[in-house]
Amino acid sequence: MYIEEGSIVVIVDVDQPTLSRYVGTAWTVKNVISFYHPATALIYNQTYGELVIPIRCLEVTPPDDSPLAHNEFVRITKGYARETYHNCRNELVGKTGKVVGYDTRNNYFFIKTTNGDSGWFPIHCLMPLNFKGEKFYYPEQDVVLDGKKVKISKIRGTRFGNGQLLLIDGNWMPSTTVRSLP
Amino acid sequence: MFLKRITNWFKKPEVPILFEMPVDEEEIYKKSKIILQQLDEYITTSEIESENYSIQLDGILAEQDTISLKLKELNKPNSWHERNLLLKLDRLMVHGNNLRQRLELFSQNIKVYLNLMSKVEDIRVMRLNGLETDRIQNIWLEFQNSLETYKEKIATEAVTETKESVTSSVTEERLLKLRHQVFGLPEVEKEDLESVGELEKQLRTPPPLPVRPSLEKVLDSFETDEDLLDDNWNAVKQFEG
Repeated sequence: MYIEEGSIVVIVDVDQPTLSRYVGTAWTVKNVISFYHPATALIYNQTYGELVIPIRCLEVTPPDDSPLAHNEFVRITKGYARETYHNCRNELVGKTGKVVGYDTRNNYFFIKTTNGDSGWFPIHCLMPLNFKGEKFYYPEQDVVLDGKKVKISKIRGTRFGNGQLLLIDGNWMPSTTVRSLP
Repeated sequence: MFLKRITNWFKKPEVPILFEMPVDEEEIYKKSKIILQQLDEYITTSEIESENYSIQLDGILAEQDTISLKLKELNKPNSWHERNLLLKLDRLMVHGNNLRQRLELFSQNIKVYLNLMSKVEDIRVMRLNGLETDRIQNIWLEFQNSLETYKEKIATEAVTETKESVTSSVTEERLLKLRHQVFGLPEVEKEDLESVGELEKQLRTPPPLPVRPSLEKVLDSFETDEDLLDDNWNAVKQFEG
């Protein structure tokens, strides 16, 4: 799990029973002490203050403008070629799981499947299960807007999960205004 | 085949527009999914936009405070610097008011979209439960009414919207009021405003320019060519001497 300063993390496990009340709460990483064994992070919460905790007890949450939220259920639709930081686990393709981690270096999501396996996947290999719209668009996808071919820079979910907003030429556009290429 | 594919790319997208959908309960049930998606997307877009505007508005308010402080520290009554700062403050206030209005509009839009969404969802749910069509019809009528009232509201707002005058006297009055507000002076009275208007008129009326005689008249004033040469010679002498 890659963690850096400023990441928002959730405590999912604790070593000491006294810290069990913090499980499930969100914290901001202030510092990473990687030379400790086990690797540890100094985290901060406005209500509880500072805490030193092993990194293995933490899960990094995706940022607010990310298309997928922490603990959101997704289906792994396809695999990908080898990437700098992660290898694709092709055996997970077609399975469902939930988002339990995020890599800020390449915006990959750490997916834990229902049968306990886990792997790193980019957004274009995932499909949110609660998406109710007509068509799901991915970043870097070419679409037709007002008769012109444009590229989607970023995507974002809507409030009720019925659709998507697409960042095209610096503007957030509703996905119903674009058409996918034939 | 290939040519057909290329021409398809440049065809206008067949996007169903929310407010031009068929006025039929059957149709709305069929298209409820896309309508819900559109409304949801509008709501989220409005929320993002209003968030951006609110951040901008905070920045403007902070800038206004800074300028007010500068004005107090400057302490140069009726100077150009003070006037410039007052003008800047005035512009910021206008911009801030515009943003506030826009934020209110966004908020109203979100409320209307939420109402519309709930109506559409009602229709869907009732149809799924196999309820009577009369009740669905009633909800559909409510949906149409809410849409109509929204349109009327927007129309009346567009009509009653008054553009703020940018004439000089109004600006001067506003600047005076602003100055009083910043320095904590008593409120501006009508007489003061009138005097400001007169002063502004006086300042704005340019002084009369000296009447310049035409070239023909000047030439006529010299009786002979020799007189003209003498006059030129005198002028050269004056310049050298």
